[in-house]
Amino acid sequence: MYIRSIRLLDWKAYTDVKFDFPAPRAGKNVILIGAKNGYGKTSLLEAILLGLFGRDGLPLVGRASMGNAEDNRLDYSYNTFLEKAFHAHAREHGRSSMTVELSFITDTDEPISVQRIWYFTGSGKHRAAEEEVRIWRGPDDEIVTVPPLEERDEFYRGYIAQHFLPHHLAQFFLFDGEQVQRLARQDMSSQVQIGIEGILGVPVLRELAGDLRKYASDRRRSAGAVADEKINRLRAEIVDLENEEETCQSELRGIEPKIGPLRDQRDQFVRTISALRGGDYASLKQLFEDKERYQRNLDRHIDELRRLLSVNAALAVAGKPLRDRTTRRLKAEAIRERWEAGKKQGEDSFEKFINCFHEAHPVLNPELTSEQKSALNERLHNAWQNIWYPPPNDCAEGYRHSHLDDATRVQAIAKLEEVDKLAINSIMDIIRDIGEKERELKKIDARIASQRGIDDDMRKFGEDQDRVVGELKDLEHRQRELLRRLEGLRGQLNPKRQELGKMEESLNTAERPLRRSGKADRVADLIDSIIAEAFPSHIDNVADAMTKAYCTMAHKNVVERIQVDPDCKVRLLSNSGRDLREMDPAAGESQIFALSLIAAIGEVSQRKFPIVMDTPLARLDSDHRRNVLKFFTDMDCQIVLLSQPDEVHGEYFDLIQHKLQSVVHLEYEVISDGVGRSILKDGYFGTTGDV
Amino acid sequence: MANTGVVLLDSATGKKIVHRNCREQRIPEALLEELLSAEQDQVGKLRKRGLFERFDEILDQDYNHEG
Repeated sequence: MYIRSIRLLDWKAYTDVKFDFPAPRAGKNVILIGAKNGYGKTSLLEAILLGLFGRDGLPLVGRASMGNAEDNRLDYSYNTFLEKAFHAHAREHGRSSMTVELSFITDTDEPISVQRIWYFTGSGKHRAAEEEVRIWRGPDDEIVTVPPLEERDEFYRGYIAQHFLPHHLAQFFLFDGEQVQRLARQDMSSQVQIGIEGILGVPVLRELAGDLRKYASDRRRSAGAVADEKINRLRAEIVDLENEEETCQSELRGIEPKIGPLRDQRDQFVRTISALRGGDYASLKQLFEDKERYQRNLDRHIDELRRLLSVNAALAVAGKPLRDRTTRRLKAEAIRERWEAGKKQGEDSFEKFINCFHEAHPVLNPELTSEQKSALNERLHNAWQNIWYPPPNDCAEGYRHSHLDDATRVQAIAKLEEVDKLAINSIMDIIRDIGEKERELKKIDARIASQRGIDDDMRKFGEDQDRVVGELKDLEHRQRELLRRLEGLRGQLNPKRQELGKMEESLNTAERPLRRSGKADRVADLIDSIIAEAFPSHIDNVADAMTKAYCTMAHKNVVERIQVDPDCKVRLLSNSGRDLREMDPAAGESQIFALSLIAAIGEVSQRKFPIVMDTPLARLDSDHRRNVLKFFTDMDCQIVLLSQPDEVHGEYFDLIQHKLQSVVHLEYEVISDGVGRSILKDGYFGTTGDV
Repeated sequence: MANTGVVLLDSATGKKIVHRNCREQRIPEALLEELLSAEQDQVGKLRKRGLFERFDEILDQDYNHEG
């Protein structure tokens, strides 16, 4: 990536200046910009830092005197810095904005530009809320738009970090002499660590591990897993009921084959007794059939009475007012469920709506600011939600029967309404019917006895017949009992099976987040292992690159090698293993050390970001100056060198002349009393611009 | 593992370390790669909107049967 142009409007001493830089090529990659003190060298570096990173770039600006980077202090310093940076002449002439526009060409030859505009009140106060960022990309300068619902500043901060440089690494590419001196201080090991770790990509890996752990914890918390104990207990209850069902069915299977033959025997007795009495077979048989029919009717009525008493009696006894209240409540909860479903569907559609809204025509002119857009989005969201309020009048305020799903709730309402229809008279009618059937049975028994006669033979047949009929009756009674029991068991089994199904579904739903969170934790541990293993070997690469850079730039041959500890503490080791940084090295040597670090970070990162150096040689002696110039201009990236007249001149200029692509210098002209402006001129202090 | 833009993982040594650790811990390299890509999309942002939902999608995929 290289800088194609920089345009500054009312920025510091620049009223309207555009720097154009040609594409670097092999062996010709240096832009030299000369200027005397106060003519705008550092202002240009500051424009790049603040143009790219905005408020985040301020701590990198040496002249901002931040102290520490607490947010309030940063805001204050940012506003103060910008108010001072706004060209006085611009304010006096009614202009209200200051602009930095930076155009780059990526490694894939794609243009990408960032424009940042700051606005000011008539009295020169920075209007912080109105700061604007625009990014264009591609051959047609297509504007990069902020995705819907994404916060504007947040989006641009991420975009610039991803496509240009994270702001915390800028100090290793965009720096002045003061920054080099700061890095050279031993107490700056945290800055060194930020640089080395940042360039190796450790922060993003640590962020990922941290986010995966937060994610795992979040998903575990929201899983709401069904307790195994509860589901196991329900399964055991179902198994018990199924076992009982099987026992009943087995007994039924044993009874049913006996009933047919016993009925045949009974009929045979009837025929024999009728024949012996010479009586009317058909009438005696009719009596037995009548008796059996009455008995069946009687049993059915008794069953019905039992069922009513067991199933509905509790509901009936609860009373109509309570049943009515419960029915109304259930209906209200059903309405709430439908209302909530509609509301959720509406909320799901909101994002689509907001996308359509912002893409719809006509386009707003002027375009909304990020604050206006954010406020509008919030207002639309509130309005969208208000469509669903207030809830319907007959809607419940919450759920008291949250265990009921829609189908079960309908069944419950039907059951309550059924009980309403069941008047107490119905039960009395059944009891009356039972009484009548019993009386009828007694009459039939009496008629049968009279038909049988009382002689011994008849008594014998009668006794056998009674035994068979009794046995048949018992079996039929037991058969009905078993059928009733089976019906009861199925009545219990079905809801339990439904409940188990829901629990298992809930368990499955809970299992997925638990599976995800387990996986996320494992990947986080994996990342920790990879960092622990890979970081030391890569630090060695940084140390090797630093050693090479230092040995090339330093003129004394006392440093054998540079060592970087895993905590990023850097040591300059002599051949006896002594750390030369502890021996109070000269300022120039410390600067060489810092420049070596900058060079090593650039090399190891393999990042082709341009290096902008503002007066980096001022404190160096001639040998160091020569070595540093040669080393940095040999690097495989664009170098923008901002220099004082006596910094790169004579032999130093000659040393890099063959690498120069563009040579310009800045002059300063006074506009009015105490106010002037920087002007860009070709050539470099006594040379022409031809290179 | 394809290049990720993270020097620590993209160097020859880094690739070997990733490969061995993934094999030992039975985690597909593609899974790590996808998660890293999701995190990289959030670089520089203070609020990481949608990151957990992206993690959901990635962690639900079966990388053992891919490529």
